Formats: sequence, C-alpha cells, structure tokens
Amino acid sequence: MAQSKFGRLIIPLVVPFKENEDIDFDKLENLIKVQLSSGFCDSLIIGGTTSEFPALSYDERAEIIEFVVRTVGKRVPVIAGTGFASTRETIKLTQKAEEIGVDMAMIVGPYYQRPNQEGIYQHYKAVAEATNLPIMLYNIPFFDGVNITPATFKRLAKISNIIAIKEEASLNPTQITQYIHDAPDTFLFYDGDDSMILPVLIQGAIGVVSGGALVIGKYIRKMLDSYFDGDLEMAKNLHHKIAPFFSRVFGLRENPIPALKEALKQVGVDAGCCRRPLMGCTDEEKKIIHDVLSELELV
Amino acid sequence: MFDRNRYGRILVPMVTPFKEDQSVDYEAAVGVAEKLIEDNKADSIILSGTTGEFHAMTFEERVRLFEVIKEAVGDRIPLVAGIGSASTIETIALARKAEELGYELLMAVSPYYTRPTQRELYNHFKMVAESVSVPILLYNIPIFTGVNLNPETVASLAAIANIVGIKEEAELNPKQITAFINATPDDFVIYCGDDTMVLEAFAQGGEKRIGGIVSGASHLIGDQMRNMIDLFLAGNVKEAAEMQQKFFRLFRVMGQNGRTNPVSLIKEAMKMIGYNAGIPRLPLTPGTEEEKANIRRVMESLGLL
Repeated sequence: MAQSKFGRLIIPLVVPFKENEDIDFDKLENLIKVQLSSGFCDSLIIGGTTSEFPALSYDERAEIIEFVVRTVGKRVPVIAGTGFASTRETIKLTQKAEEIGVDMAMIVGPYYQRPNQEGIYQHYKAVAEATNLPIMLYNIPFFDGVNITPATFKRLAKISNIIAIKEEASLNPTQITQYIHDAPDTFLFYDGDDSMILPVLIQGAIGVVSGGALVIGKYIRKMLDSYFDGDLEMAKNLHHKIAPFFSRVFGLRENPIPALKEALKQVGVDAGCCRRPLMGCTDEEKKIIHDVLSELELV
Repeated sequence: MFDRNRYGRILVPMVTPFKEDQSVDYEAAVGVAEKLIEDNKADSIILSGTTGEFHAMTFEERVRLFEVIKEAVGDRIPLVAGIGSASTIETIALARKAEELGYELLMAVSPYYTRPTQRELYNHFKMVAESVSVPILLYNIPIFTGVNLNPETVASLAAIANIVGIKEEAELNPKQITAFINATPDDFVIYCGDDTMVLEAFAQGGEKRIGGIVSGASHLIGDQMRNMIDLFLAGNVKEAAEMQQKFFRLFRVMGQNGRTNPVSLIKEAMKMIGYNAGIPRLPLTPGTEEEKANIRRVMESLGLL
C-alpha cells in the first residue's frame, strides 16, 4: 500500500458566505481552527465542490487559497482545487496556487461541455505540463458530466506529476479497481464519496476525501483507523452508524452543501450561508438534520 | 415588450472563434456575424451560448464579445446575449452589463454543475429577471447543466412579466415541449434548441406556440432550415420530412467520436464553406483529419460543397 504525506483523511473545507454573499473570512478562519484542533484530518482541501467553487470568481478562488495556506501555516498539507471549465483558466489558477505554495492541485474534470476522452486527456496533460505541483485528478461525473474512463486514466497515470485520483464512487462503484490495475504502485487512490468509504478502501484506496468529516470526523477517523488496524468488525459497525448521515442529511438534495453547512451550525461551527442558486435549509430539513445528529450524539 | 416576430425563426447561437494561442479572436467573431447576415442564414444571432463556448470564457471576455458584436452589427440583425453563469450573482452582473450595452433580449442557461433544486432554480431565475427590465428566455439543457427545469417550475416562472419564453433542448425529453405548452399561457414562446427535433417541436406546438429554433447547424444550413419549417407549416409534411431526414446525417456527423458537444466540428464545417470560425478552446479539441474527411463527405452529399 502506497504511503503519502497527504494521509488517509482529507477534509475539503466549505466556504462560508455572509448574508450578502460576500466571503466570510472570519468564519473560514474559525472553521480551519476547529478542524485543526480536532486533529481528525491529515490534509485540507480548499476550492473543491464543497467550497462551491463554480460560484466563485477566479480572483476569489486565488484569494481563498492564499488565505487558507496562510492560516494553516504548514500544520497540515493544503490541496487546492484549481479546475475550471477551460484548460486556459485551469492552468492560470494552478500556476497561481503553485506560487502561493500549496502542496498539491486537485483538478476537476472540465465540466458543462462534455469533451470526449481525447479532450479530457489533452486538458490534464496541458495542465500537468504547466506546473511543477503534484496533481490529483478529480473524477465526479455526477456534477461535471464526464467520466475519466479507465483507458484515459491509464494514459494520464503515466504523466509524472499526476500522482493521485479522487474518485466519486457511487456512480461507478468498482471503476477504482480498473484504475488500480492500470497504475504504478505509488499512485494514490482516494475515495471521494462519503457513503462508499469501506467499499472503496477494500479495493485498494489509501483514504478518503470526506466533506462529511467536517461534522462527523471522529467517526470517520475511527472507522479508517479500525479498518487499517484490521478491526473490520468495528469498521463495519461505524459504517452502519454513520450511514444515516449520508442517506438522510446529504440525501436531502442532490447538492449536499446546504445540509452540510446547516449540520456544522448545529454542532456549533457557524459556516455561514451558501451562494445562490444554493439556498439555506428549510425548517423541515433542519429538523431531519437535528434528528440524525442526535442519534449520532453530536447535539 | 417582447416581439417574437422581430427575432424570426432561425436564431443562430454563434460560435466564438479562438486563435491558436487560445485567446478570443474578436475580429474573426465579427467576420462570422457579418457573413451569417450576408448569407441570410440567421434571423437573429445569440452570443455566448453553449455553441459559443461561454463556459470556457471569462466574464470580461463575454462582455467584450457583446460590445464588439453590437458595435459591428448595430441593428442589422437582432442580437441576443447569453448571460447564464453558475452563480446567481454573476448571472445578474452579466445581465445588467448586457442591458447596459443595449441588448434587448437575454437568454439565461440554468445554473450548472451545482444541481440545484426546483425551488432554487425558481429563485435564481426570479432574481435574475427582477434585476433587469429587458425580456429573458430561459434555457433548459440538462445534458450539459445537469438539471432539468420541470414544467411546474416553468409555469411559475412564466408568471413573471419579463420571462417570455424558453429554449428547450428536446432530445432528452422529447415530449416535454408539450408539457411546457400545457403549463404556460399562449404568449409564452418555446424555441426548439435541438437540431434533430425541429419538426417534432413544430408538430407539438405549431406556429402559435413554437417561436423557432436555436440551431447550431444553421451556421451551415440556416436558409434551408427556414425553408424546411415553412414547408412543414404550409402543410407540405412529406417534403419537410425528407429534408430533415437528409440533414440528420449532418447533425450526427458533428457528434462522431463521442463528441457530445458538436461545436468543434461545426467550426470545421464552417471553415469548409468560407467562415473563419477559428478553433475551439481546450478541453474541446479541433477536428482530426479523419473527422474532417467524414464531414466533407456528408457536406458534399448535401450539396453544401
């Protein structure tokens, strides 16, 4: 099994917004403080889907990356999501993130336009050649509309600074097995889907990128540690214990971020508002979230 | 406030030419607009739609395109500004900018990537509509945005005064046009946004409810698409159907090699008939020699070359 400084539990940060939809840096700073003091995460990601990156401008994304790198102060590695729909803008933000000093760039598949596999390959190749940063591929067809097929992955894994992939596994639960067959032993595989952690670990992933861990980090950390210590019974029990958080809280809508921010608020970390079109939770949704958090003994 | 007749039946979502270095070729964009007018391929031109690769352009580039084309074309052909972005605030900012530049009709694609709920979609479009005083067309294209505007949501949005119509990408939900027609008042206009579904759209709503087509292939055959629709509406179904059967090959050749997005190959075909359409912006890639040969064959068989 590959080892990595990025560790087993990577937590993607939300970006708190004020009522007027400006970025709330005070709340972001507090969120980072809480995550680092809890000690569950091995690395942090800024600028992923959980950060609502499609709703942020280039300048805002660069500013947030800089803020997070400065606030974290090298206590854990920082991974920056730098993907845009165009290769040109992705390269620009990746180079900016390198200059700021992040530890890795995570690049989402170019969304909206549904390029063919050759277009996906050319996109990642051009970005990888434009930076010295290590790159994590980010496959999330549910949102970006394209899948990195195993054949394309095989070509990409040969590029020297493409070292990791985050795979959103519920749409293609065993694709990661095909990926692993085609990659060098040092390549890092992360599950990107909170409800699929154990099923992906068993296929050979090294860890998880988990938005849910912002709220239920202690359970996810314990599940990972139990699994890697060989206590599969404990890992399985935890898998079942946290399942309602994903089915009932994240399952409220197709996009889980409003529910995630509400859950953070209920456990005492004010993560602000979402940027529209995403809207805050209804009273009914808040009640469901509260019920699940009660069952998990978090409120 | 919205006179559908002014915009005609053939609305061409104009390609945005890019240079080899990936920058926007504004001069070539003006050339494409001029030639579309000269060739009588378009009744209106839509800028910064999906075929215009808006998603790969920055806010500033989209504004510059609006400026440059408006200045060059003036009132010779109606212009529509595609103003949709992934967030509500950016969509509003671009809508206001387009209105300020004199655009009298805006088209707003659903917020993509984030997969908002119907309540969030309603709120998004309502806020956008309230931010300007010009009319707005909704733009439903779930294959790219990941969300569908349901008929109930369209019905609620149609009650907002300056939301005047919808462009529907019909191939995924071929009968949704009928559901939209049933859910909205008679003056709410529906445009077919799918080149393969033109007659099917007119069959569902007739001249009364279907305003026309937003058609990427009309860069190549806009004049013939106009004839085909005229024939169909005049009751000459057989001849219209034969034209659509013939054109189907052209639409399909644009999607070869898993190209869900036809814009790269539309640009190649445009070059074959004298348009300086530039290249697409990466990750979309130019046509390969083999792809171009396939296009050429179909274009020749249709008498376009």
